[in-house]
Amino acid sequence: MIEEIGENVTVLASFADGRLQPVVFKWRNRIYRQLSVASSWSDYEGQYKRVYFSVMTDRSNLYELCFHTRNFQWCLVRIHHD
Amino acid sequence: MIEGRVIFHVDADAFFASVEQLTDPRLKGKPVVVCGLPLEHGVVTAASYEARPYGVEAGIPVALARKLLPDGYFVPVNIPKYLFFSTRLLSIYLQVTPRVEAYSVDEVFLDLTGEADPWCRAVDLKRQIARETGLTVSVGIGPNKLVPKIASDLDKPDGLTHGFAGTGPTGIRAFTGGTVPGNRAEDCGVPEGIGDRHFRRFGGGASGPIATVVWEERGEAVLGCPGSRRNPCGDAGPVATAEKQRP
Repeated sequence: MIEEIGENVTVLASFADGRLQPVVFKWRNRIYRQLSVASSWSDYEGQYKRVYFSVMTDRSNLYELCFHTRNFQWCLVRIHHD
Repeated sequence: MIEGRVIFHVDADAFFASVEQLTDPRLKGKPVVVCGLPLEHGVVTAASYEARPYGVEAGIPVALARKLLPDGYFVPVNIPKYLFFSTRLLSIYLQVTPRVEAYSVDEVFLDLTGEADPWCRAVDLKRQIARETGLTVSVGIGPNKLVPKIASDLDKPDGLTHGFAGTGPTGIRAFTGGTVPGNRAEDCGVPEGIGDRHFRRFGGGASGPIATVVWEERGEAVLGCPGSRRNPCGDAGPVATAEKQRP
Protein backbone atom coordinates (compact mmCIF):
# COMPACT_ATOMS: atom_id res chain seq x y z
CA MET A 1 0.00 0.00 0.00
CA ILE A 2 1.22 3.49 -0.83
CA GLU A 3 0.52 6.37 1.52
CA GLU A 4 0.96 9.87 0.15
CA ILE A 5 2.52 12.10 2.81
CA GLY A 6 3.96 15.36 1.38
CA GLU A 7 5.29 16.67 4.69
CA ASN A 8 8.55 18.45 5.36
CA VAL A 9 11.04 16.43 7.38
CA THR A 10 14.39 17.03 9.03
CA VAL A 11 17.21 15.10 7.42
CA LEU A 12 20.84 14.55 8.26
CA ALA A 13 22.66 13.95 4.99
CA SER A 14 26.16 13.21 3.85
CA PHE A 15 27.93 14.88 0.97
CA ALA A 16 30.69 12.49 -0.03
CA ASP A 17 32.32 11.52 -3.32
CA GLY A 18 30.18 14.07 -5.10
CA ARG A 19 27.01 12.41 -3.92
CA LEU A 20 24.24 13.51 -1.60
CA GLN A 21 22.75 10.83 0.59
CA PRO A 22 20.24 11.01 3.44
CA VAL A 23 21.49 9.24 6.56
CA VAL A 24 18.86 9.93 9.22
CA PHE A 25 15.46 11.61 9.06
CA LYS A 26 12.95 12.74 11.62
CA TRP A 27 9.24 12.67 10.90
CA ARG A 28 6.45 13.31 13.40
CA ASN A 29 8.90 13.24 16.29
CA ARG A 30 10.18 9.82 15.30
CA ILE A 31 13.74 9.31 14.16
CA TYR A 32 14.51 6.90 11.33
CA ARG A 33 18.14 5.79 11.35
CA GLN A 34 20.37 3.48 9.36
CA LEU A 35 18.88 4.48 6.06
CA SER A 36 19.89 2.43 3.10
CA VAL A 37 19.39 4.19 -0.21
CA ALA A 38 17.82 1.84 -2.74
CA SER A 39 17.79 4.29 -5.62
CA SER A 40 17.74 7.95 -6.49
CA TRP A 41 16.51 10.05 -9.38
CA SER A 42 15.84 13.68 -10.08
CA ASP A 43 13.66 16.07 -11.99
CA TYR A 44 13.25 19.83 -12.32
CA GLU A 45 10.61 22.22 -11.10
CA GLY A 46 11.38 25.19 -13.28
CA GLN A 47 15.07 25.90 -12.85
CA TYR A 48 15.26 24.06 -9.54
CA LYS A 49 16.37 20.49 -9.27
CA ARG A 50 14.58 18.02 -7.04
CA VAL A 51 16.46 14.93 -6.00
CA TYR A 52 14.47 11.90 -4.90
CA PHE A 53 15.67 9.00 -2.79
CA SER A 54 13.94 5.74 -2.06
CA VAL A 55 15.28 4.64 1.30
CA MET A 56 14.73 1.73 3.62
CA THR A 57 15.32 1.43 7.32
CA ASP A 58 15.68 -1.75 9.26
CA ARG A 59 11.91 -1.88 9.17
CA SER A 60 10.09 -3.18 6.15
CA ASN A 61 8.71 0.07 4.74
CA LEU A 62 10.22 2.07 1.90
CA TYR A 63 10.25 5.87 2.20
CA GLU A 64 10.48 8.30 -0.68
CA LEU A 65 12.36 11.47 0.29
CA CYS A 66 12.80 14.55 -1.86
CA PHE A 67 15.43 17.29 -1.57
CA HIS A 68 14.33 20.51 -3.22
CA THR A 69 17.17 22.83 -4.24
CA ARG A 70 14.89 25.88 -4.31
CA ASN A 71 14.70 26.07 -0.52
CA PHE A 72 17.03 23.25 0.54
CA GLN A 73 14.03 21.58 2.10
CA TRP A 74 13.53 17.86 2.51
CA CYS A 75 10.12 16.32 2.11
CA LEU A 76 8.75 12.87 2.81
CA VAL A 77 6.77 12.31 -0.36
CA ARG A 78 5.20 8.92 0.28
CA ILE A 79 5.58 5.68 2.13
CA HIS A 80 5.40 2.30 0.45
CA HIS A 81 4.10 0.03 3.18
CA ASP A 82 4.96 -3.62 3.15
CA MET B 1 32.33 -6.77 -41.19
CA ILE B 2 28.75 -6.56 -42.39
CA GLU B 3 28.19 -4.84 -45.71
CA GLY B 4 25.58 -2.09 -45.72
CA ARG B 5 23.73 -0.55 -42.86
CA VAL B 6 23.78 -1.87 -39.31
CA ILE B 7 20.91 -0.62 -37.21
CA PHE B 8 20.21 -1.50 -33.58
CA HIS B 9 16.78 -1.28 -32.02
CA VAL B 10 17.15 -1.18 -28.25
CA ASP B 11 14.05 -1.69 -26.16
CA ALA B 12 14.08 -1.50 -22.37
CA ASP B 13 12.30 -4.53 -20.92
CA ALA B 14 8.97 -3.74 -19.21
CA PHE B 15 10.48 -0.32 -18.64
CA PHE B 16 8.07 1.33 -16.20
CA ALA B 17 7.65 -1.84 -14.13
CA SER B 18 11.41 -2.49 -14.16
CA VAL B 19 12.12 1.02 -12.88
CA GLU B 20 9.63 0.45 -10.08
CA GLN B 21 11.39 -2.79 -9.18
CA LEU B 22 14.72 -1.01 -9.32
CA THR B 23 13.68 1.80 -6.99
CA ASP B 24 11.86 -0.52 -4.58
CA PRO B 25 13.98 -3.65 -4.11
CA ARG B 26 11.13 -5.35 -2.30
CA LEU B 27 9.34 -5.61 -5.66
CA LYS B 28 12.14 -7.50 -7.36
CA GLY B 29 10.88 -10.81 -8.75
CA LYS B 30 7.29 -9.95 -7.87
CA PRO B 31 4.35 -9.23 -10.17
CA VAL B 32 4.25 -5.44 -10.50
CA VAL B 33 1.44 -3.59 -12.23
CA VAL B 34 1.91 0.09 -13.04
CA CYS B 35 -1.28 2.08 -13.43
CA GLY B 36 -2.67 5.54 -12.93
CA LEU B 37 -4.22 6.96 -9.79
CA PRO B 38 -6.55 6.02 -8.24
CA LEU B 39 -5.26 2.48 -8.38
CA GLU B 40 -8.74 1.01 -8.91
CA HIS B 41 -9.66 2.67 -12.22
CA GLY B 42 -8.29 3.17 -15.70
CA VAL B 43 -6.01 0.80 -17.55
CA VAL B 44 -2.72 -0.89 -16.87
CA THR B 45 0.23 1.16 -18.12
CA ALA B 46 2.86 -1.56 -17.74
CA ALA B 47 3.24 -4.98 -16.20
CA SER B 48 6.39 -6.74 -15.08
CA TYR B 49 7.29 -10.07 -16.63
CA GLU B 50 6.24 -11.77 -13.41
CA ALA B 51 2.70 -10.42 -13.90
CA ARG B 52 2.32 -11.41 -17.53
CA PRO B 53 1.73 -15.15 -17.07
CA TYR B 54 -1.48 -14.16 -15.28
CA GLY B 55 -2.73 -12.38 -18.37
CA VAL B 56 -1.93 -8.93 -17.07
CA GLU B 57 -0.49 -6.65 -19.73
CA ALA B 58 -0.52 -3.00 -20.71
CA GLY B 59 -3.89 -1.74 -21.83
CA ILE B 60 -6.22 -4.01 -19.89
CA PRO B 61 -8.56 -2.46 -17.31
CA VAL B 62 -7.10 -2.21 -13.83
CA ALA B 63 -10.24 -3.83 -12.42
CA LEU B 64 -9.60 -6.87 -14.63
CA ALA B 65 -5.94 -6.93 -13.66
CA ARG B 66 -6.93 -7.01 -10.01
CA LYS B 67 -9.17 -9.99 -10.67
CA LEU B 68 -6.48 -11.82 -12.60
CA LEU B 69 -3.79 -10.97 -10.11
CA PRO B 70 -5.27 -10.23 -6.69
CA ASP B 71 -1.88 -10.54 -5.00
CA GLY B 72 -0.13 -8.25 -7.47
CA TYR B 73 1.70 -5.09 -6.49
CA PHE B 74 -0.16 -2.16 -7.99
CA VAL B 75 1.91 1.02 -8.09
CA PRO B 76 1.08 4.45 -9.52
CA VAL B 77 2.76 5.84 -12.61
CA ASN B 78 5.70 8.10 -11.83
CA ILE B 79 6.62 9.83 -15.07
CA PRO B 80 9.51 11.99 -13.74
CA LYS B 81 11.17 8.85 -12.44
CA TYR B 82 10.84 7.09 -15.80
CA LEU B 83 12.13 10.14 -17.67
CA PHE B 84 15.18 10.22 -15.42
CA PHE B 85 16.08 6.62 -16.21
CA SER B 86 15.21 7.15 -19.87
CA THR B 87 17.70 10.03 -19.97
CA ARG B 88 20.35 7.87 -18.31
CA LEU B 89 19.85 5.20 -20.96
CA LEU B 90 20.06 7.84 -23.66
CA SER B 91 23.39 9.09 -22.30
CA ILE B 92 24.76 5.54 -22.54
CA TYR B 93 23.54 5.17 -26.13
CA LEU B 94 25.25 8.44 -27.01
CA GLN B 95 28.54 6.99 -25.76
CA VAL B 96 28.15 4.24 -28.33
CA THR B 97 27.25 6.44 -31.30
CA PRO B 98 26.04 9.98 -31.93
CA ARG B 99 23.53 8.57 -34.43
CA VAL B 100 20.72 7.90 -31.97
CA GLU B 101 17.01 8.21 -32.69
CA ALA B 102 14.85 8.30 -29.57
CA TYR B 103 11.83 6.37 -30.78
CA SER B 104 9.94 6.45 -27.49
CA VAL B 105 10.66 6.82 -23.79
CA ASP B 106 12.17 3.33 -23.71
CA GLU B 107 13.14 2.58 -27.31
CA VAL B 108 15.88 3.90 -29.55
CA PHE B 109 17.43 3.20 -32.92
CA LEU B 110 21.22 3.33 -33.14
CA ASP B 111 23.01 3.54 -36.47
CA LEU B 112 26.17 1.47 -36.15
CA THR B 113 26.95 1.17 -39.81
CA GLY B 114 30.63 0.37 -40.23
CA GLU B 115 30.87 -1.37 -36.87
CA ALA B 116 33.31 -4.27 -37.21
CA ASP B 117 31.49 -6.59 -34.80
CA PRO B 118 27.92 -5.46 -34.09
CA TRP B 119 27.14 -8.57 -32.07
CA CYS B 120 29.95 -7.94 -29.56
CA ARG B 121 29.06 -4.27 -29.49
CA ALA B 122 25.51 -5.15 -28.57
CA VAL B 123 26.67 -7.52 -25.83
CA ASP B 124 28.91 -4.77 -24.41
CA LEU B 125 26.06 -2.27 -24.57
CA LYS B 126 23.72 -4.60 -22.69
CA ARG B 127 26.37 -5.18 -20.02
CA GLN B 128 27.04 -1.47 -19.64
CA ILE B 129 23.35 -0.71 -19.23
CA ALA B 130 22.92 -3.44 -16.63
CA ARG B 131 26.00 -2.25 -14.74
CA GLU B 132 25.20 1.46 -14.75
CA THR B 133 21.42 1.43 -14.40
CA GLY B 134 20.40 -2.03 -13.19
CA LEU B 135 17.98 -2.32 -16.12
CA THR B 136 17.89 -4.89 -18.89
CA VAL B 137 17.25 -4.20 -22.56
CA SER B 138 16.49 -6.33 -25.60
CA VAL B 139 18.43 -5.56 -28.73
CA GLY B 140 17.53 -6.27 -32.32
CA ILE B 141 20.07 -5.79 -35.10
CA GLY B 142 19.26 -5.49 -38.78
CA PRO B 143 19.92 -3.73 -42.06
CA ASN B 144 17.15 -1.17 -41.60
CA LYS B 145 14.89 0.10 -38.85
CA LEU B 146 11.99 -2.30 -39.24
CA VAL B 147 13.83 -5.60 -39.02
CA PRO B 148 15.60 -4.83 -35.71
CA LYS B 149 12.32 -3.43 -34.38
CA ILE B 150 10.76 -6.82 -35.04
CA ALA B 151 13.83 -8.74 -33.91
CA SER B 152 14.14 -7.05 -30.52
CA ASP B 153 10.69 -8.32 -29.64
CA LEU B 154 11.47 -11.96 -30.34
CA ASP B 155 13.62 -12.77 -27.35
CA LYS B 156 12.46 -10.69 -24.43
CA PRO B 157 13.53 -9.97 -21.78
CA ASP B 158 17.27 -9.36 -22.00
CA GLY B 159 17.44 -10.68 -25.56
CA LEU B 160 19.76 -10.14 -28.46
CA THR B 161 18.56 -11.07 -31.93
CA HIS B 162 19.78 -10.16 -35.37
CA GLY B 163 17.91 -10.10 -38.62
CA PHE B 164 20.56 -10.44 -41.25
CA ALA B 165 19.79 -13.14 -43.78
CA GLY B 166 22.09 -16.12 -43.81
CA THR B 167 24.11 -15.10 -40.80
CA GLY B 168 23.86 -18.24 -38.78
CA PRO B 169 21.77 -19.82 -36.08
CA THR B 170 21.73 -16.82 -33.79
CA GLY B 171 19.52 -14.84 -36.11
CA ILE B 172 15.78 -14.89 -36.48
CA ARG B 173 15.60 -17.93 -38.70
CA ALA B 174 12.92 -19.50 -36.58
CA PHE B 175 10.73 -16.46 -36.73
CA THR B 176 7.36 -17.59 -37.93
CA GLY B 177 4.96 -15.10 -36.48
CA GLY B 178 5.97 -11.53 -36.78
CA THR B 179 4.72 -8.16 -35.85
CA VAL B 180 4.92 -5.54 -38.49
CA PRO B 181 3.87 -2.22 -37.00
CA GLY B 182 1.22 -0.49 -39.02
CA ASN B 183 0.53 -3.32 -41.44
CA ARG B 184 -1.85 -6.24 -41.58
CA ALA B 185 -0.94 -9.72 -42.63
CA GLU B 186 -3.24 -9.72 -45.62
CA ASP B 187 -1.89 -6.40 -46.83
CA CYS B 188 1.49 -7.87 -47.54
CA GLY B 189 0.45 -11.36 -48.51
CA VAL B 190 1.79 -13.17 -45.50
CA PRO B 191 1.14 -16.89 -45.84
CA GLU B 192 -1.91 -18.07 -43.97
CA GLY B 193 -1.35 -18.81 -40.32
CA ILE B 194 1.73 -16.68 -39.98
CA GLY B 195 1.46 -13.89 -37.54
CA ASP B 196 -2.24 -13.23 -37.95
CA ARG B 197 -2.76 -12.63 -34.29
CA HIS B 198 0.07 -10.15 -34.12
CA PHE B 199 -0.95 -8.37 -37.26
CA ARG B 200 -4.46 -7.94 -35.98
CA ARG B 201 -3.10 -6.61 -32.75
CA PHE B 202 -1.48 -3.76 -34.58
CA GLY B 203 -4.70 -3.20 -36.50
CA GLY B 204 -4.71 -0.25 -38.79
CA GLY B 205 -4.96 -1.29 -42.38
CA ALA B 206 -2.74 -0.85 -45.34
CA SER B 207 -0.42 1.92 -44.32
CA GLY B 208 3.10 3.01 -44.91
CA PRO B 209 5.56 1.58 -47.33
CA ILE B 210 5.91 -2.06 -48.21
CA ALA B 211 6.32 -4.06 -45.04
CA THR B 212 9.37 -6.06 -44.30
CA VAL B 213 8.58 -9.46 -42.97
CA VAL B 214 11.02 -12.02 -41.76
CA TRP B 215 9.96 -15.60 -41.88
CA GLU B 216 11.39 -18.99 -42.43
CA GLU B 217 11.37 -20.29 -45.94
CA ARG B 218 13.09 -23.46 -46.94
CA GLY B 219 15.08 -23.32 -43.71
CA GLU B 220 16.53 -19.90 -44.37
CA ALA B 221 15.65 -16.55 -43.03
CA VAL B 222 14.13 -14.34 -45.67
CA LEU B 223 13.94 -10.61 -45.44
CA GLY B 224 11.34 -8.80 -47.40
CA CYS B 225 7.66 -8.65 -48.06
CA PRO B 226 6.17 -11.94 -49.25
CA GLY B 227 4.67 -11.50 -52.65
CA SER B 228 6.81 -8.51 -53.38
CA ARG B 229 10.57 -8.53 -53.43
CA ARG B 230 10.84 -5.01 -54.73
CA ASN B 231 11.94 -3.72 -51.38
CA PRO B 232 13.65 -6.63 -49.68
CA CYS B 233 15.16 -4.48 -46.99
CA GLY B 234 12.00 -2.64 -46.05
CA ASP B 235 12.22 0.67 -44.28
CA ALA B 236 15.20 2.52 -45.68
CA GLY B 237 14.55 5.59 -43.55
CA PRO B 238 17.55 7.08 -41.76
CA VAL B 239 18.10 6.99 -38.04
CA ALA B 240 16.83 10.47 -37.24
CA THR B 241 19.05 12.04 -34.62
CA ALA B 242 17.83 14.99 -32.58
CA GLU B 243 19.72 17.36 -34.89
CA LYS B 244 17.96 15.99 -37.94
CA GLN B 245 14.59 16.27 -36.25
CA ARG B 246 14.98 19.99 -35.58
CA PRO B 247 13.22 22.24 -38.10
